[in-house]
Parts: sequence; structure tokens; C-alpha cells
Amino acid sequence: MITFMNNSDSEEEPCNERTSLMSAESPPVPSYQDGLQASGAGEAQAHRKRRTGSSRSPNNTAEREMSDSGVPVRGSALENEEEELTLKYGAKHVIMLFVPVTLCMIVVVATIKSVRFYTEKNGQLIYTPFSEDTPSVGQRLLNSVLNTIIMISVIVVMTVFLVLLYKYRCYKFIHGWLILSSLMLLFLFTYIYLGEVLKTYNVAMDYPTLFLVIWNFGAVGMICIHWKGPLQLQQAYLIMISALMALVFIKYLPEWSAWVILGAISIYDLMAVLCPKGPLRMLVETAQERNEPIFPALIYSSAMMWTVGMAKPDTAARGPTQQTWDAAEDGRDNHGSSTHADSQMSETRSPVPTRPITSLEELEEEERGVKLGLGDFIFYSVLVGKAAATASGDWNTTLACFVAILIGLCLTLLLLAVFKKALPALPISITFGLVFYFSTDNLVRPFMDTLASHQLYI
Amino acid sequence: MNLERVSNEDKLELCRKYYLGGFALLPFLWLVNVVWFFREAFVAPPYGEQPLIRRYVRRSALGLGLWGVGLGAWVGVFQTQRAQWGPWGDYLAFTLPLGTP
Repeated sequence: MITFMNNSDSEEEPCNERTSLMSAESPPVPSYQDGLQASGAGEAQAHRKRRTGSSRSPNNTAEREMSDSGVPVRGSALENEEEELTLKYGAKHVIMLFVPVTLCMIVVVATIKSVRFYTEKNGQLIYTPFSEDTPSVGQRLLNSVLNTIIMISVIVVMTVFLVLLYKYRCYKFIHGWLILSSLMLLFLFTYIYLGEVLKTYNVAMDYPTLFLVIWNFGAVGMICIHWKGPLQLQQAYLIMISALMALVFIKYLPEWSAWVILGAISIYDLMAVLCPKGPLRMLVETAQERNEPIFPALIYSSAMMWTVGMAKPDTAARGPTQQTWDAAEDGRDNHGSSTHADSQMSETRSPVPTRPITSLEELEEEERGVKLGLGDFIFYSVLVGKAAATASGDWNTTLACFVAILIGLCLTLLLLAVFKKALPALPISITFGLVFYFSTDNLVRPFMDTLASHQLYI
Repeated sequence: MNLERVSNEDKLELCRKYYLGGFALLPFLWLVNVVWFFREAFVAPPYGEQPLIRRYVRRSALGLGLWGVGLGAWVGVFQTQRAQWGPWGDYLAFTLPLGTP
């Protein structure tokens, strides 16, 4: 979900509210308006986590919040400059999100292509009870639709449950749930993954070393995600757990069900984020009312918002200056984390009346990041991974899906810059991805093959 | 988390917690400590807590070095000698390579 929340109280200055991404070289500004950005969150994954390959509840929204800064007495030149800044930083944010999404997809595709374990059919999850081994096409289609309905309803129930927990402030329960989920992801799934990779490459490994490696990986992961750790490491862990989750989905979802589920989840995401009574939207609004960040462990954040402190620690005359920034909080657990991308700006509010504009006591630099929910990562990777696993067109189809998803992400971020509120990140990308997959597999690939076999280059 | 926004006391506290945490069989945590706080400890201009941070980073590096040597020795021994160990080698092995060595 991408939300842009703007709560600014206009000050006395005759400046209009704008959302602008502040650059590091921004001139000192005396007053800021608070923008709240809350991105919503998570989904019920915990339930799923207990079973391998739980499905994720989708709440993917990319959120971006921009804060408004009021700048006194500048003309329209400033407006143009700010718009330019917005676009420039919008582009920067797109790039900041391309890299992790690409990395996640690369990890998934590389694993799918090399480790055969993840493409072998070894049973199904209980969330998709109907088998697809039926002789007739109609029956298979019906089974996949039924599977989808069950999966989506599980996701909806989990999401609503999570929203209710959040509304009634059962924070401990939610935190425990998230911790349990990430524990399972970081330890159990990594153990399985490592075992399969070692088997594929025919490497001997002993139990003590294995125990040490998994313990280190998991413990540092928990520390980075749920507590404090270096930003890059946290991002790397979030990417890895998203990839692990996507691999589990690819393995355990039957063929046709996977595609139908992808489509259904984008529609659900669209509704959950944009409808007034949608669970994700309510989550975001509740978080914003309470002025709290959304749960850690559910969101990937590309940068930290930080503010250089005031030059003079003269807080007495300044009144409360609050910095709220949402540190790239942890990744999300596997379960349906709502994906949202939001960038949060920390804002400091300085008391306008007592501060002359020219005093340079406060120099603030803010760098915004964009946040994307982990669910988005997972489903993007599921789409590309499935394309890599099952397409007859080999790399053609995989690359086409990859490009489609990135285009969709660009468009979503563009819309975010335009609308400035929480937006779902799944629908556009998944739609493009599905269209590209089916058309490439069925139209482009035979075309290319025929051309190649006839040695005709275009 | 960006170290630049954090106060010096908090940095010291974080470095110390990472150092202490590494004793729970977590050399990776020591590695993270060394890499993350290296600039703070050795490159940044001196400030009050820097000597302490330096101390923790040095000790983490020492512990990391010891673990590295120990682990490297064990893995080397295991990989080369596993075949000669008979049943013990198999008990210790998580994955066994297939085929003839």
C-alpha cells in the first residue's frame, strides 16, 4: 500500500502546501509542517508461517509519504523548483526500489534454475486442497478457482484479524506473532534451503558447522529485523526472507492455482487499499491517527529518514520538535505483510512565531526513502519464479516478466507521486506480468523459435 | 538504522551490546560489529566515547579472528578426513556427496 498522508496545518505564512522531497542541500527552513505517513500493514502470516508455505496475505501497498514543507515568501519559481525536486526524487526512489526487487527476483530465479527441489511437486498446502491432477480441463480450472477462493479467504480473514488486533491495541500479540513468523522463516526455511543447495552442489557439510551457520544467520537476522542493525544488512535480510517465502510458494502452489491466485491477490490488494472499508486502509488510517509507524518486520524501507539536529540545542525556546522517522523497519514476516511502500519524512516543527526566518539555527536535512511492503516482493518473485520454472520459452519469458514487473513498479510509483496516498503496489505489476507471461509464452516464443530455425534475423 | 543520527552514548551502548551478544556463539555478530563501527572507532574525529568503542571493536575483531581460525581448522579437517573416519564421519555429516571421491 502506498499512502501519502499529509497532515499539515498551514502556518501563518502565505505558503502553499506542497509535497516535496527535501534534498540534502535544502536551505534552512524555519517551519515545517507535519506530514504523517503511516503505512499500513501486515497481514496475517503467522498462521501461515506455522505451516510451510503459507500464503501471504496481500496487502501490498506502496506508500510514500511526502511531507510538506512550508517555505515562506518564495515565488512560483520555488514551486517549479519543488516540483522538479519531486520528480527528481521520485526517480531516485524508483531506482532505490528497483535494486532490491531485482535482487530478490535474481535470487529466486537462480535457485529455481539450479536447485531442482523447488520445482518438484511434493504435495500441496492445506490452503489449496483441491488437486490439479484431473483429466479434464474444465475440472482442473474449477479446482484452481476453488483453491484460489480458499486461499484468498484465508488471507482476508487473517488481515481482518490483524486489523482488529491493531485496533484494539493488542500489540504484544502482534509482536509475538511477527517474531514467531520471522523465527520460522529465518531458521526453518533457511535450513531447508541450505540443505537443498548443498545437495545440488554435492558438497559435504557437517552438523556442527551447519548448526553454527544457521544459528548465526538466524540470530543476526532477528536482531537486525526486530531490533537495531545496519540498514544494508536489514535490507539484505528482508530480501532473503522474501525470496525464501517466494520459493516456498512456488514449490507448493499447483500450476494453474498459482496464476489464478496471483490475479486474485492483485484484485484483493486493490480493494483492500482503496475501498473505504478495506482492512489495509483502515490499518493505515488507524496508524496515522495514533501517529505510530506500522509494524516493523513488514516493510522494506530503502533509506532512512534522518534529520541533522539543530545547531543550537536551544530547546527551551523552540518548543517541541519532534522527529519521527521510520527507520527502515524490518522486514516482514512472511505472512501477509501488507506491502506498502511509504516513505516517511521526519518533520520537525519549529514554533514559527518565535523564530525569525533568517536565523540559521536549524538546519535540517532529510532524506526520504520509499517503503515497499514485503508482500509485494514476494508476489513479484513468485510470478517471475513461476515463469522461470514452467515456461517453455526459457529465458525469454522470464526476462519479459521481469521487465513487466519493473514497468509496473515504475507506474505505481508515478501514481504515488501524483496521488500522494497509499496505493496498492501489486495490481499494475502483476497485471503486466501475467499479460507478458502468457503472451510471451504462447505468441512470442513460437515466433522467435520459428525465426531462429529458419535463420531469419529481425 | 543510520549511525549518524544516533547520539554517542547510544552508539556506545549499541557497540557494547553487539560485543556482548557475540559471546553467544555468534561470530557473525562480531563481524557486523567490526564492520559497522569501524569508521566510528578509527576514522571519525575523536569524541568522548570513542576509546571505549575502539576497545569493543578491537575485542570483537580478536574474537572474530579466533573463531575464524577455529572454524577454518575444523572445516578443513572435516572435509579432508571425513572419508577416513568411518561411521563417525557419517554421523557428523549433514549432507554426503554422492559418487566416488
